[in-house]
Amino acid sequence: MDYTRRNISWITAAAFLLAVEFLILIVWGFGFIPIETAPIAKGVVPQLLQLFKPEREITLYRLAIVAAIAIEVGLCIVFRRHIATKDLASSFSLWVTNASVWISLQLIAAFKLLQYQNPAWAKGLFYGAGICFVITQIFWPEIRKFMEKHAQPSWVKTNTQHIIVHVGMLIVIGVLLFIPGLNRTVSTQMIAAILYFWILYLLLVLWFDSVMFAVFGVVIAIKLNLFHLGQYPIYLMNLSSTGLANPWDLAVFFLIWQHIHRHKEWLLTLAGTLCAMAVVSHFASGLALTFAWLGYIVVHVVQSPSKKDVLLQLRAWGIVYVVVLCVVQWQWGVQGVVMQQWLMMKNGWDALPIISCLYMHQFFPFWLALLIPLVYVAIVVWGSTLLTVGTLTAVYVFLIPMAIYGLGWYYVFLYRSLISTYYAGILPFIVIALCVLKYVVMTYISDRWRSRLLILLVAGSVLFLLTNNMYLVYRNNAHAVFKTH
Amino acid sequence: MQFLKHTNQRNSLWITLISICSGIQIVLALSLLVKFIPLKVDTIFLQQPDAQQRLRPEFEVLLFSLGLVSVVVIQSILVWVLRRRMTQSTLETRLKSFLIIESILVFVLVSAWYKTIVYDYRPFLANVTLIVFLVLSLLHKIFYKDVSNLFSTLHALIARYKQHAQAKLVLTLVSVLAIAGIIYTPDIDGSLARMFIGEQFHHWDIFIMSPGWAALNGHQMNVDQISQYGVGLPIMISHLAQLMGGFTYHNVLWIFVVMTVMYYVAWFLILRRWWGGLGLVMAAIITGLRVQMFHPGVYPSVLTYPSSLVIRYFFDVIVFWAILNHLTDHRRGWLWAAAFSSGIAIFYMDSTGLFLTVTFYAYLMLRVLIPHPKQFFFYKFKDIAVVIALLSVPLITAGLLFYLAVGQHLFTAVFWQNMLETIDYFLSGIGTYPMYESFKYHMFFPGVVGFIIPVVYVVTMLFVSTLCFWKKRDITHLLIVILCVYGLGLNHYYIARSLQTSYYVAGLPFIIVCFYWVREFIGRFSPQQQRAMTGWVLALSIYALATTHMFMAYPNMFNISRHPLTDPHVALPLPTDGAPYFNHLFRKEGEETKTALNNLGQTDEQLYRESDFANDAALRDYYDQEFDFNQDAALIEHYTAPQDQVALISSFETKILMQANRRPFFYYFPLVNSRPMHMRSLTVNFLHTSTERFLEVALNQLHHKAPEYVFMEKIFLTKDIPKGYLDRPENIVPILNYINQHYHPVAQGKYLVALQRN
Repeated sequence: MDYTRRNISWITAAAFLLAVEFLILIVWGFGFIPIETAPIAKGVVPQLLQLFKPEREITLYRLAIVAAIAIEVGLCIVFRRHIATKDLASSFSLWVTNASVWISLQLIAAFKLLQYQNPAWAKGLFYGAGICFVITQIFWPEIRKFMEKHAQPSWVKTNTQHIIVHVGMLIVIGVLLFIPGLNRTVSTQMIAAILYFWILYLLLVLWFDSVMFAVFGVVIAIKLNLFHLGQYPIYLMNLSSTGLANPWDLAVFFLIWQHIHRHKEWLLTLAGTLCAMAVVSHFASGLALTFAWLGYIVVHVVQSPSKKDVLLQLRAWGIVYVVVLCVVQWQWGVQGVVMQQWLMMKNGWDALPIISCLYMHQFFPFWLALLIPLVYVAIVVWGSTLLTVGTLTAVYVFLIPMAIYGLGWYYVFLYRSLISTYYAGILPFIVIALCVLKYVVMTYISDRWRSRLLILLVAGSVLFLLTNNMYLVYRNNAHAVFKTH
Repeated sequence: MQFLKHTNQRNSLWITLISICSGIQIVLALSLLVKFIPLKVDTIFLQQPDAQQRLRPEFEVLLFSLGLVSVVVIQSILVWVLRRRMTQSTLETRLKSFLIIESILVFVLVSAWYKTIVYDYRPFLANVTLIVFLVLSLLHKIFYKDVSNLFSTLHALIARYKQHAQAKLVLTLVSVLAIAGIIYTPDIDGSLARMFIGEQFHHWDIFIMSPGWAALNGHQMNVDQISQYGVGLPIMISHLAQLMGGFTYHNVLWIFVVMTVMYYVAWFLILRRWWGGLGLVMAAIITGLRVQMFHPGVYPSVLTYPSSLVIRYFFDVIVFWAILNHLTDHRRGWLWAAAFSSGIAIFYMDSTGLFLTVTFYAYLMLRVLIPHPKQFFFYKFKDIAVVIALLSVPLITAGLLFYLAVGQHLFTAVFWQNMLETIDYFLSGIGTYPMYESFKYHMFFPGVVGFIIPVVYVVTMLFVSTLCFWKKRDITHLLIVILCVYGLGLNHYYIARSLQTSYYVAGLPFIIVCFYWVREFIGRFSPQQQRAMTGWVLALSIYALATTHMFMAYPNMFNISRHPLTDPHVALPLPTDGAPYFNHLFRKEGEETKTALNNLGQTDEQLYRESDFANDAALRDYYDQEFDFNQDAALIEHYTAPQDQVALISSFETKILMQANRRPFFYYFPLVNSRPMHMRSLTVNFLHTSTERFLEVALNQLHHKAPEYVFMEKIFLTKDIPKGYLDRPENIVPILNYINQHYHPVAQGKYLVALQRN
């Protein structure tokens, strides 16, 4: 192992971070000194004088470069005797991890200050992160010891501790979404949303056996489902464009997961009943859920050693589903809904082409919108082939109905390609992405970096949610829209 | 990874990906076919009150469903056919090679489809590409064995001739010719015609033609004549053009094109010598060309903006060549060559020359500081003198050249004040933009790249220099360190004027640094993998260049159109609103700034657009006719002697004086910003010449030198100056007032009038 090379990498990273911090400091400091108009601009006619925008960027640029060089040289001189030692890299890596967190926060805050015209919270974040950076430098030996000790956090050991953590997380989710003082109807919808994400959190804990994964998943789901521009001014006005349009999906997938592990046939019967109910709740996604359920049944039939019994059972599931659907149809007239939906779709009523977002220069969402169905199709088709060759794992079995459900939602988006329909059915993709993270990405990363990566992902997702403008105006908008004051 | 442990799992994955590729191809083929099927709407929906707004029938759902079904069917067929061979590793090899070709086809198909959307106003080329590659996809499936064999043969051929010296030479020559072919434009006059009708040689006159003409006539730069882009450049280029047969727009453009070819070929040779291999070097150069010459910031062609061409920093190639040689053979002669070239570079263009000199100093400093086994440099005390001498050479060389150019004026405050005038304006904030400007307009990608570039430079510079210091890298890696120093210098232009992609004007060092890291990354793999990866990188760079519309519109030998300047299939409209490029600067000018009649006493302004020209030859004919000021040149010749300085206020004043073979009179030359001669509007002067200083200098010249004759456009004689024009800050009314007060008309040319002092 070439320790010198590794140490130099970390020293360079540290020098670079310190130079960035220095740049932040001088930009902040220069902010208090007004820029005077240069003498040469005198005599310029007033109409043109407005084109003079004096700035200090060149000075700052040069100072930052000089600082980076000076710091690198300084660090090399200070650590010259340890340059080939093994320990230098590990201590530097801890420092770099710590510093990059605070500096990143400062940069994000600076970006938000520019983007949203100096909001107070961004100023708070900027100064807060700066102060934290300084404090961590002062108490670095203690912090370093703490970080080394908890390189692989294992704070939660007993069942009681587990319960405390989960209850704590549920409270946090509630606090994130709860707004007091709304009228009863809106409050009911808000509580429904909280409940939905509580259940999602618990299911993610169940599916991934990790609090960190669950927190990461649920925070991303809240952000993508409830707080995007398609939900302007507030998601509570349009719950049908959120995951709550069809809350049966969580129950169905919970039952499918349970069936994969417990093999109780009544679980699938119950899932079928819920699918039929889901068709009433939200026709398109209900249909998608039904197909997901059927997809899982196909996998189950193929995998089952006693196909005869399963086929008999299949008949029972079919009967239950049809009976429930008939009752529902009799009660609410589903047939009419189906015909209406079909006619509207056939004639392109309220349809929007997927390329419409390109005309608004939304390149990233456009390509992602094309990538997502490919991921779903690949999972279903590859899974089917693995099923044929007999090497399908339990985790993969769960992904197949999830991908089918995602494909169903994708039809909704494809028909009406809006940002709201894009994010309404994002849940399957989040679950699949978490699976890829856990079963593919994490296998390439060492234990120490795995926990660091997870902490960063969770912190990043929380920051992503909390600094989003839609979330920042959430409470104000709720009160403004529903006129509670 | 548990999903890919067994061969049959991997084979299943390759089959899945092949099925998806085929599904995409089918969907794209169907999307072309459904364009011929009209979409019908039920009458009941048409009767709805808001039907017009809400009815948008489309095939997207149907196409997606058909694609889904095709993927499932293809997958089922493939799995069924290959069911007995699923565990064979030979199948995996075949599937992978099939998949690679399919992926390439899909990549091109999807990008062609994407271009049909982005360029929906001119989708012809993208549609043709789509159809051609769909046919190729079909053919690949039929003849996949032959295609596979062809690739194997090619692979074997490359492996066989890789070490063959003659094959290497031939490939190098082909690469050089390819670079020249990409840059060289055979239709020089056509390019000039487009510049003439597109932006009336605005940038050309400021950059080279006006100072060049003045220099050729013995004027001293920044003493008799303003020269915004350095003292040496106009002198050197104008004399070079004179040697080539005359200082004309044609010859200067030809020189610039050839210099650009030479510059890129020289960098190709530097990288070839430094990195050895050909593939990655060619990929770096092609990407460099794509980024530096064909980015949207130089619309419609980089040739329109000579300050964006590599001639701005032409001498860097000599300095880096010398330094590379010094790093490899350690002869001190190379250092003297680099020092001398840096000095010439300062004289040639002060800003870029100074950055180059700082780069050279950085190299010297690194060589002094970094220990090296040979200890060939600075190991004796007497070497201090050598270092001091090397540090002095650039400044002494530049000083001598400046002295030769401006003589005693070098020691006057006025000269340096004039030298720094443009820089002072720039530094005082005129035309500058903050680095976060792009974020304001939600252009995050260009904005982020603007920050990434200096970060890459700084981190590379620090990391590699420290590695060299601790002897973890060969000393030749210092070249990348000093390239970063140089890149950071050139990046000053972007830091001050952070406009979208303006960092690409000096983008080549950044691309080389990026490819340095690509090379470092590829170097970690086996030779076979390295070959494959290099091939992919090269293919991607060619793709990036070939599919950019800026390249497709460039009038080189690879252009698919025989009339690239006027053919709507390739000629670019304005990126902002898709309007014609020709005469775009003046098309929207309102009547409130216009006079009743133009210079010729007509109302027709003749603001032609691309569609008014049948082909490029028609455009060239128009240019030859309109850019010939024979009658006006004759008028000037008649009233002035060959040695006279001629006071001329007119659009295209440089060309008129060149035709009349007379020297310019005003220090600020060109005095006004050219506009089409047939327009009914008065000209405007430049932004920087709207100051008190400008008026003072111009009026002082007129007053003190009191030329016997002044020439100006007839339209300036008008008594009824439009009110809208008077409101414009950059008008030249005070100068016109002075002339009308002190001069009277005596004769007329085609566009000009001669006025004699009262």
